[in-house]
Amino acid sequence: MGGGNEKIMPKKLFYQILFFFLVLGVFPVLLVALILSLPYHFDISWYKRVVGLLLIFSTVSTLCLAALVTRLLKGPLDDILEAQSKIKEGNLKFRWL
Amino acid sequence: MQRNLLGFFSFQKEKSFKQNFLITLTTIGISVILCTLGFEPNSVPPDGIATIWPGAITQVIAGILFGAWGVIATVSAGVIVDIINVNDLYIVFGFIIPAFIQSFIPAFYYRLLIKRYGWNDKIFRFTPFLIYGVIIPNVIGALIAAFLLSSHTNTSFYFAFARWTIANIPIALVLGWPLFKIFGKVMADEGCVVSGWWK
Repeated sequence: MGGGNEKIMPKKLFYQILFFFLVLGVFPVLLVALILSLPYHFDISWYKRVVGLLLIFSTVSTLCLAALVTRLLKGPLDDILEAQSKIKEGNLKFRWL
Repeated sequence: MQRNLLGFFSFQKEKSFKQNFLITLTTIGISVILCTLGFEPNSVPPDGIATIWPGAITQVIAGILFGAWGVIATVSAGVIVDIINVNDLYIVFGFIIPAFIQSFIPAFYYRLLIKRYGWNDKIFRFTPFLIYGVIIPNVIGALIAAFLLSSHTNTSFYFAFARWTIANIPIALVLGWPLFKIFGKVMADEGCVVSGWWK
């Protein structure tokens, strides 16, 4: 989990991020925009309920997105640190052989 | 070599009181925001059950990730939200018991799992989350809340029970599972979690 041997942009992770961004981030905002453009006699309690639900979805999806982005950033960072430590200490496996 | 991006929360293995207190405050904040967004208590008959209770998400996840601190945070967040929305002290204080149970059972079960396996992939499986994280705690919480409501107001027991489970279980499953699987895993990787009850 989160080791240094991951590729720079893992495909699965990228698609997960895209999925969360579109389905839980963009979709709720589009719906809110749609609801806002409805006529004024639209029932206010319904509006409140829908917007509340969408905001809950967005909050949770934001947390998930933050986690995915952290994972995405962490892979290359670990690679760099590992390379740095290898340069500093030498490849121990190779040395002892 | 590993480095933690979220430095303040994870620079030592056993977290200090200050860090845990900050985690608790953050969890209370998120929980109160989520709950006030989804809260719309039924006015006829007058009971304090929300149509959707997003607190169920934080109750499961904070209980699992932060142990006793998560339990304290979610219970106090529930009290704050009820004080804002429900004007009945009996219900506000009565709902502390189901709120406590709903975060204590997952916390207890996952403390046992973590003690046995540590924070690895076995923790983040779906079936234990579904059974011990969502269904059992919410059904017990619903039973207690329905008993409290039916003894205090005119609401019937089964109606209150059904409304409580419908408000809690679907949202805890639909939004709680991705949050636990993705957010929880990253928090565990970064060391921002509380492995025991308090430390």
